[in-house]
Parts: sequence; structure tokens; C-alpha cells
Amino acid sequence: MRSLKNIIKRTPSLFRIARAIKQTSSTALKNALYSKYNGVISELRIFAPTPSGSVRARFDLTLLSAKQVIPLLGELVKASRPQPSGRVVTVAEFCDELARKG
Amino acid sequence: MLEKHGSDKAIHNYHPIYASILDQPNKITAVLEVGLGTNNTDVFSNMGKGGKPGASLSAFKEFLPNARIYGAATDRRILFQDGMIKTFWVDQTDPSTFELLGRDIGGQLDLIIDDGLHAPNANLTVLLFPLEWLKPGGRLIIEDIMPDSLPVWHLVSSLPPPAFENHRIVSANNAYLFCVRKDA
Repeated sequence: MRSLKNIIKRTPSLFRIARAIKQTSSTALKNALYSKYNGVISELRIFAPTPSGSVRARFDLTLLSAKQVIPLLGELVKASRPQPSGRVVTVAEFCDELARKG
Repeated sequence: MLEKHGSDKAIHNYHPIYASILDQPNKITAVLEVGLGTNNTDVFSNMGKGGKPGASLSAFKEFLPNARIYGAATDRRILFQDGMIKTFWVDQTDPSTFELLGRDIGGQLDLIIDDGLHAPNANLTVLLFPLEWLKPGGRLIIEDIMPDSLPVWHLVSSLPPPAFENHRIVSANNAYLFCVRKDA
């Protein structure tokens, strides 16, 4: 590998080609990531922050927001009602309730 | 006054709301704004290099002669202290840091403003904070809500804690606000 690198370094035409390949692939990778981040932000736009800062940072915060919003809404519901309507009951409790209420 | 200190609140047409809420400036004793507006471009939701961190706090300091003005931000580099202004670190994506913030402030607030990360998870974290730290009759304002996030706020409006009253989604220039008052 080292000898191949040395050959490329010592051959100007090969060096130019290798550098061009490196630059092109780097740009292509950046563009692909940029497109992926924007695609996810667009799909999850309900959770996305205001459009400021880098696309990568916005992508990260959008994913974190998608992960946190529902649990936080759950906290809000818990704070709103002592016994949220989504409370889980046992079969016995449910049957007692049915017997009481008909 | 907001413009004079470099705050963008007047640009968004938020100033009439603050003028109404703070119509008796001498009676206001404590205000907190989450999000100071960092000018470090490596931080998300920054205002650019020309931004002035804490601009709104300076305006509130001038307008509210008897108030302690608190600020909180994720970027430690912009925290400062200036007379009645004191600022603290907080991570808007970590609710436990708000418990520390409440303890650092150590008293109840007349007004809490969220002008921080501007993401629904960050907003909801701030919304849960005033249950304990807002004075009865005090208000919380969440700024810069994007139209795409409105469904979250319609849902929040349908399940406010009993301690909250008069909650409203307000349409301003290019953004929405969520305003809520704690039961007096």
C-alpha cells in the first residue's frame, strides 16, 4: 500500500487523477448526506426546529425531538389529570368496573 | 426599547403582547428567558456573529426597575452577570437541568419566555417547568413556533394541566406563540 502511494506521489499525472477522485468522492458523500439529512427533516417536519444552524445539527435535533415529544406529552397528561384515561387496569378491576357501571 | 437593545422581538411583532403582560412594570419582580441568543456559529439556533447575546434581558432590565432578570442558555460561553441580570446554564433537551435551574433561581417568576432551541421537545420541557416555578397569575410565552409544528400545540392545548388557564396559540409575523397563564 505504501509503495503504491509512493508511486502515485512520484507520478504527477497519477497524483492529479488520485486527487480528483478523492475530491469528487468527498463532494458526492457530502451531497448524499446533505440530501439524506434534509429528507429526514422534511419527513419529520412536525418535530423539526426553526431553520437555523447547520443541517447536521438540525437533523440531530429533529431526531431527538421525535424521540422526546411523545414522552413529554405523556408527562403533561400526568400533570393534567390524576388518573389519565389511558391508565392500565387489571382484568379484575375492569370487570368490577363493568359490574358497577353495567 | 427591545429594538434599542438589539432584540428581535419587535421584528416578530411580539412586543404588543409583552407590553400588555408587563403593563405594571413596577410590580414585576422576576423574569426568566430561556435562550439568550448566542453569536457562536458552532451552536445550533445561533443568531450569527452579529447577534447580541442577552439583548432582550437588557431591555427587560431597563423596563422593569424592580425585577431580577434571569437568563438560561446551552452555550456556557455567553453566560454573564450584569447588575440585576443573572444567567445560568441549561440543556433544553434534558428536563433534569431545569430542576437545577429552578433551585439556582430559588424563587417564583412572574414571566417565563422560551426563545431557545425552537424545537417542540425543547418547548415542552420548558412548558413543564412553570408548574412549580411560575407565580400564581404568572405567564409563560413560548416563541417562534413553526407552522409545521402546530399539531403538537393543538394537542397541548387540549391537555393543559389544571393549574394553567387562558392558553392560546397566537399568530405573529412568520411564527406562532403559545401563551399560558398560571391559575391565580
